Amino acid sequence: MIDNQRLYSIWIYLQAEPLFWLTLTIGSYLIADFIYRKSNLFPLLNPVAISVLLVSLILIFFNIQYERYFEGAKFIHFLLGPATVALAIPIFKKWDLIVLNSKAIFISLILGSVFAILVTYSLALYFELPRELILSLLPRSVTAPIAMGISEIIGGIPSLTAIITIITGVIGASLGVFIFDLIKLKNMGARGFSLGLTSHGIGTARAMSKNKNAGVFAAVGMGLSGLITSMLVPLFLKIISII
Amino acid sequence: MNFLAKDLFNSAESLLDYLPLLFIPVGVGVVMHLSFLEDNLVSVLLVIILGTLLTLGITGFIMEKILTNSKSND
Repeated sequence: MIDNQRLYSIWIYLQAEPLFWLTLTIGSYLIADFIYRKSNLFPLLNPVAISVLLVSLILIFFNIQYERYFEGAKFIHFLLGPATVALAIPIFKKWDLIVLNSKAIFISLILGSVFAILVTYSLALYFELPRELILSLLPRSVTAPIAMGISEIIGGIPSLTAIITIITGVIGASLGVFIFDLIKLKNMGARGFSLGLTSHGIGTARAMSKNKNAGVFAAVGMGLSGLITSMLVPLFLKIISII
Repeated sequence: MNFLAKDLFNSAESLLDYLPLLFIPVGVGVVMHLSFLEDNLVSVLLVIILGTLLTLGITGFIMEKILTNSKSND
C-alpha cells in the first residue's frame, strides 16, 4: 500500500515537473519519426504533423492547459532559433550551387512571393473573410517570427498569423510532393526552393529529409522569401489602397 | 575556411537533423488555439490549402523552366 502511495506521489511529481512534457514531446517525435522512416518518407506521414497530433490528443484527453505543457516544451522551442541560424551551414557548403543558379533563384523568388500574396488575397476575398483576418493571412508563406512582425505592422493579429503560418508549413510539407508529381517537376532544386519559399521551416525540414540539394535550396528560399515578403506585403497594401 | 572548426559544422548539422522536433511545441500551440479562428476555421483552412498548393506549383514550375532554358542556351 505504501508503495502504491509512493508511486502515486512520484507520478504527481513528474506530472508537475516540466521534464514530463519535455519527455512527452521527444517521445512523440521518436514515434512519429519511426513511422515516417518505416513508410519510406511518405509525405502524408509528416513527422511534425503526426507528433503534434499525438501530443495534442494527450493534452486534450487529460485536459492540460497549453501554458503548462509549454513549461516543459519551451526548452525544445528555444532551439528553433539556433537551428534557424544553423541553416547557414548547408548553404555555405553548397554556395557554388547557389551562385550558379542565382538568376533562376532571383526570378522565382520575386514571382513566387508576389504570387503567394496575390493568391492568398484573392482567395480570402472570395471567402468574404473579415479584413483583420485577411491581413493576418497575407504574410503566411514566411517563417512565423517574420510573418508575425509583418502582421503587426499592417494591422493583422500576430497570434492568428502564427497559427495560419504553421498550418501553411504543415500543408506544404505533407501535400507539396503530390503537386510536384502532378506537374512532373524533375529538378530537386526547384522542388526544394518552392517548398522553402512557400512553407518556410517545416517545408525546409521536409526537403532536407528527402534530398540534400533540395534542402539547401529550401533554406535559401525560406530566408530570401522572408526578406522580400516583409517589403512586398506593405507595398501590395499601398497599391491596392490607391486603386 | 579551416579556422571554421569542424565542430561548428558537425553541431549545426546534427541540430538540423532534428529540425522537425523543434516545431512540435509551436504546432501543439496551433492545435490548442484553433478556436481563435472561430466560425472562419473552414474558410481559412481552404484559403491556406488552395493558396499553398497553387504557390508551390507555380514557383516550382517557374524555377524549373528557367533552369532548363539556361541549360539549353549553354
